[in-house]
Amino acid sequence: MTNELPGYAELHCLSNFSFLRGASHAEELVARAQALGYEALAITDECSLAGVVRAHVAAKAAGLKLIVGSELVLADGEKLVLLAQDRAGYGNLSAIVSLGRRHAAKGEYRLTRGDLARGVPDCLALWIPAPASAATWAATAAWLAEAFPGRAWIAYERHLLPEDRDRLAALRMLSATSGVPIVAAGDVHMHVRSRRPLQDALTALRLKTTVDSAGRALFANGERHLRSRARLAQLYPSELLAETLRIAERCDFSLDSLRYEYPDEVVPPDMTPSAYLRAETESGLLRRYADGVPAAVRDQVEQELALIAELVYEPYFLTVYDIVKFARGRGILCQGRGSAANSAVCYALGITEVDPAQSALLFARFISRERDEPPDIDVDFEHQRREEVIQYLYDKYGRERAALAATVICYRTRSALRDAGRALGIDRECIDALTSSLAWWDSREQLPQRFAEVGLDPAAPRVVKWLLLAEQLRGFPRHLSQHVGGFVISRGRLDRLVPIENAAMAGRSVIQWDKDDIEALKLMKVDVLALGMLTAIRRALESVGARRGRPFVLSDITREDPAVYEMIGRADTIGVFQIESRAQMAMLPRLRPARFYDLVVEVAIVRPGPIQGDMVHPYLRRRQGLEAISYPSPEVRAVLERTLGVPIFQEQVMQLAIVAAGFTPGEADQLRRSMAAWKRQGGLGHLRERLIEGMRTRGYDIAFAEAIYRQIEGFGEYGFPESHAASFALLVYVSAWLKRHEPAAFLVGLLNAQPMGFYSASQLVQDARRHGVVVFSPDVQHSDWLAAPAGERRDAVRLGLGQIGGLGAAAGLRIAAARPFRDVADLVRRAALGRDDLDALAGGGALAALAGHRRQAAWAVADAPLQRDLLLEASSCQDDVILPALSEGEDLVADFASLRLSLGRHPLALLRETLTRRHYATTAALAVIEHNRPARCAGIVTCRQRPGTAQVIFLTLEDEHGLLNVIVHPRLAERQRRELLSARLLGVLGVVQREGGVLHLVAGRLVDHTPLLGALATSSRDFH
Amino acid sequence: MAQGRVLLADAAAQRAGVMAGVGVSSARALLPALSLRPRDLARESAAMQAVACWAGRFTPRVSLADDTVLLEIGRCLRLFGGLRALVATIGESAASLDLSVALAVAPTPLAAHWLALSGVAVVCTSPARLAQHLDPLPVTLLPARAAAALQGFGSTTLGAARRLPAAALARRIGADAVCLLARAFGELPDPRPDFVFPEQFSMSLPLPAAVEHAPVLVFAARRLVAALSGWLTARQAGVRRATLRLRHVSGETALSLGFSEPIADAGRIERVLRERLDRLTLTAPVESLCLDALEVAARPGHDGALFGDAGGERERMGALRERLGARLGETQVVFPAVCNDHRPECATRCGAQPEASPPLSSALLSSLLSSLPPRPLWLLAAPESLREVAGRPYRGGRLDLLTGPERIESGWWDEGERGTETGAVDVRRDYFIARDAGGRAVWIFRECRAPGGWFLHGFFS
Repeated sequence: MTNELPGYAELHCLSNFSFLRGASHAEELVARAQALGYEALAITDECSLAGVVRAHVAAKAAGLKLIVGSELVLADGEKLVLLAQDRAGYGNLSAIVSLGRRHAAKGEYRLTRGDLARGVPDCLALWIPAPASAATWAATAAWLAEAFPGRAWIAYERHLLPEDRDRLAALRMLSATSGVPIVAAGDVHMHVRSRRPLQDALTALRLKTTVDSAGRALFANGERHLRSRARLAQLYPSELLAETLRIAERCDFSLDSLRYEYPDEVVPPDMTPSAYLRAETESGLLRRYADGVPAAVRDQVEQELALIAELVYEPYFLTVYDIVKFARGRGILCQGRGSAANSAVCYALGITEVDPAQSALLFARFISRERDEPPDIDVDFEHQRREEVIQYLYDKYGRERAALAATVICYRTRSALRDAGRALGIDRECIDALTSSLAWWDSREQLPQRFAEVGLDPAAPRVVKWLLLAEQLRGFPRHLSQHVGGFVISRGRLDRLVPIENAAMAGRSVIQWDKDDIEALKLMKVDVLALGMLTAIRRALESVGARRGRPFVLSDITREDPAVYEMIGRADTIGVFQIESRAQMAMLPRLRPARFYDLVVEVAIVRPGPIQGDMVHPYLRRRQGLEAISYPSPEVRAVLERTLGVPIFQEQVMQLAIVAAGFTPGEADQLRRSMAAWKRQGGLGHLRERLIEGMRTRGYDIAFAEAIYRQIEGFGEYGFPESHAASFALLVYVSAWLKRHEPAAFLVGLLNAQPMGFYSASQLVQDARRHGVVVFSPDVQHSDWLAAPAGERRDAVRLGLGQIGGLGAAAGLRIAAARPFRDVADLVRRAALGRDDLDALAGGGALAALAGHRRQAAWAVADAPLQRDLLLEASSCQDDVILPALSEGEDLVADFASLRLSLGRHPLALLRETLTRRHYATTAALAVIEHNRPARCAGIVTCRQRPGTAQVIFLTLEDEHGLLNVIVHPRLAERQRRELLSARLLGVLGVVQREGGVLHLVAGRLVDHTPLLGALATSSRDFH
Repeated sequence: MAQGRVLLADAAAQRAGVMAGVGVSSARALLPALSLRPRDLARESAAMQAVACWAGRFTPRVSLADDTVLLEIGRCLRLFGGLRALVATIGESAASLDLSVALAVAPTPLAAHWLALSGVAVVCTSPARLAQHLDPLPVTLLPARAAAALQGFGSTTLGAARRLPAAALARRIGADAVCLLARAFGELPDPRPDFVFPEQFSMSLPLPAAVEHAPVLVFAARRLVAALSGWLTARQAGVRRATLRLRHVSGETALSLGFSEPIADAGRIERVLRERLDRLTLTAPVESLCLDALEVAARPGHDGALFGDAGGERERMGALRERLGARLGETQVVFPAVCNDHRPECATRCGAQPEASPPLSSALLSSLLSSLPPRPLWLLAAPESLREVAGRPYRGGRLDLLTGPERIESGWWDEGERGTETGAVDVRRDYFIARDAGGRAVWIFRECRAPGGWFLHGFFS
């Protein structure tokens, strides 16, 4: 038995980035090829390079040679595989893929022979002749030899079909006559044979049928996997296998050789990037520090500029500066965040608003020498105007040099179950029943129970297959979508770096890589993100300025106002950025922020990371003076002093690793990445050893080291960077100030920036009214399209016509421009309104001034002469019909149906008598009940939440007095699942829990009172 | 359900809170074991046709309106012994067919329709008292836009709508809606198009659950028989020969019914049917029924044209099939059909009837079929195990492997499933064409699943 297994390189292999064809992850393919001893593996997804970065990373780690390529099916049906030989070839391949994608709709591609006629230099081409086109083989071979001189092969792929032998003979003859050599290939669709069921299921899905019906459309067997070399030796002639090695040898391209180059138009033609950056920084400093630049800041600026110069990152900062300058020039509010954003240079440039003179941030992490990566800056823009910024980027750099990053949409549990079920022909009702009964918090173990609940037997063979397929399918990429705002901009043509596709949105182009791929290859990405609160703040500032008669800007807001902190400490924060959520409001009375840095901590601490890592309680105790703070060493003190000895920020963990455990900055960064990924990839094991060892050798005791490690584990991927927290804290303060001192303007800002934030318009309005803001309903005689201050009053808001459901913006703007009106006919004529507009206005009660109550208005409007009926002028006044007004309850229902809020009494105020009869207390009454006393309360469910891996579920109930937070324990949640998930008006019997000024009702029993709501429309936000 | 909302719920579902109008997800949240079926408009309209035909028993003037059947009974009262008796007969007949009906009688068709729709089971004969019955009905009976507008004005009943000034109302909700009201209340005439009884009678009835015992089918067939009887009555004809086809998952059993003279009486037809069914043993569960009237003639004593022979290809094929079956035995006549499957044993199916077209588009199928690999003419019902000598298959002599291997691996989805035919499992075999000692070309395979072995599967000649 000879030990000489032939060498082999697989040159035709699809990963699951060939959507609905490939049945294995690139990582699995690489691992298997390595285990089988292949010389090399080519990943050749269909007209796509979306999966190559993952393959590259996996191949590098495994030590396997990777060849980058792509399978292309031309318009005439011929199938080719192109392999990149070197960097130039890769660029050509990428350009061809982009060309093909550009000529077709999203998800498809189109390439003709003409496109390849100029050949694709520095690429090798494999042609897989199809039996159907046998008549034209000779011609095609000739074309191939000409288009790819010396770089073309005929591929013979054997899958144990009866015609194999004849086919080989025919191909050999073709090769002889055309002179194109012949090589063996695999047409690999999966890494092992046992993936056949999944591959069949994918085929069925692709053809929109089921595996039972797909019949011969499925592959006849499972041969399309990475086969052992022994098997290959049996199946193919040895010279064909040897040819694969010759091809592999000619390919010598690694993604590592991709070098990124910054665009150079950000610098004026006669200056160097360095000089320009220096100049802009200086002028910025002058602007920021009118009274002279503090010495500490000057030092910091010099250090930063030196580091930037050393690493040659000037163009990056200047690119971001250019974008921010554009936005400010247009009056778009924006703010940068991210590791590099909180630097003195960025403050000077106006990229960020966090003043280094006022915050004691350690900036050393902002760029790491060792990491050799471009810095990371995200810029938040007003969400309603972000599109202007995006179009600016496309205009400035062109569609060939700027594109959005992609997001890979993967199969999740629900979608995997759905598609796997569809492929297996499971009744659609059944699938829907199962997936809709899955609450988002159900884990894998609970699936069998869910199956049983909907009447499926978890042991039935089909169900078993269903589960198995769904499990394999989870995590598979489904399609590419555009990233929220990550832009990649390059100096040369971007499509020679990575293929560019059409996005679903018109006017957008997307690269085929996502942000992880971009990071892995160290390309520059600027995140152009949208933040609703920026819009709200800008609008609120404008509102204040309009009333005062002079512009009012961010810098006019007095900092460190005690009244603002007092309000925050009371958790009176509905509408305030970041600290309005239920979890935050439960923390505020305990933390009682009193200065800016406390807000920075508050933003970071109420997150799963610190909560799981058990940082919250020690911090609170130390803050309240209940626990002594001690530091094992001055180095640790320097890192943790500002957070009372408890690591809260990502940077602190990294700094600890450096100063206490002797990690280098590069290794500390590795630790940060591992923290983010350890749950998926199984643990910080080796790092744990190093950490604890390192600390021990530096004299820290084991208990301290273990504690630190546990906290790091808890951090996971949720540890918040300090720089992010600082940027956000500024917005927290500003929005809180506005709420405290200009509540009417603040409401105007929030309403006009919807949808955003944690609360609905209804809740925002209720909260504002409780704070003394008078709110007027939309009225054609007084309202603009947007909400606005009411007249000259400081404390009143007039809701806009935009609040009315069913009314179009164009009509609304016309009304606002033409008001006031004499009567309905006048309104119709001068605002050119149509039937639907009138119905919407009547339904929204906006015609009260012109036509009376809703019914009267509906009557008047039903006969209103529309624009078309020029001759019917005076008919409406002849119908004097008096219609009875709506009852309060009916009015309420109509309000919610049309405006999604009501300015009348709260629905529960109408039901209060009924509820009192059933012994339910109001939320206000609950506020004075002592800890551990029983209580009952009922309210409309406005929020359901199950944070992270916590088992308890939080509910928020709303009544006419305010909100109440309810805690539901897992056993009760299981028992009363139906009430929990579907009740809109819920009665809770339970026990009051008070802790440090925070009130919860711990539920013992839930009662569904939804029928009492009748026709009232309510909605609840349900999320993590 | 339709468009994500529940349309109708049975009593058990309603008890759990699943009402019409509830969204599908909410319905499931309330009752996880809920069984939901999508609305099938085709079936609904076919059912309506059947009911209309049945109604022909009582009056020739039948009209369809949405899911309501209108019977103009003014002229039939004496035939049935008065109004009360007629209403009772209709009710009983409907009950015997297992139809749940809401019934109302009124002087105008629209009023009768609306009353029945609202579940008001009233018998109103005087136009004067009509308003009294119609006034409390909800405005939702009117078209949606008009109803919404009226509700917007605060008028929620027909009576309230009638109190508003007519001209002003017409300008607001449209003259059509006001006319509807007038027609219902008898102020305007309301002529209705007659239901046209079909030329030939052929009606299908899908069964709610598969039936395994033939006698049970009598009850199921009752509705079809009733429809046939009504159709015959309306045409004043009788049936001489009819076929009841029992459809299975694959295949069909046909029962032919013959009568000595043309009859239209449902009871008699049913009796003959029952006789046949009582003696029938079903080979497979029945999924649906289809009744065809093959030979129809005028009933003696009536003058009416003879209807043309139903005729057609299907008829002749059916007749041929019956004769062959009668001579050779029902189960001996089979029609082979090509199936789209890699597994050889599943690639052909023999059914009692010619197959309908396969699920994949014909273009795709034809392109697939054109690339069919060589297959033997004759496939064994079950693969025959072969002896193995020195690693080679043996069948009365050594077998020489000519071509192969052809690897077939398919069918994992049938593995372990109940109710699949033998051979429908996950097939994993290497097929070869071999020549046996006698020079005959045979098709053999080596089983890849444990414990392996060689098998003979077919003959090429």
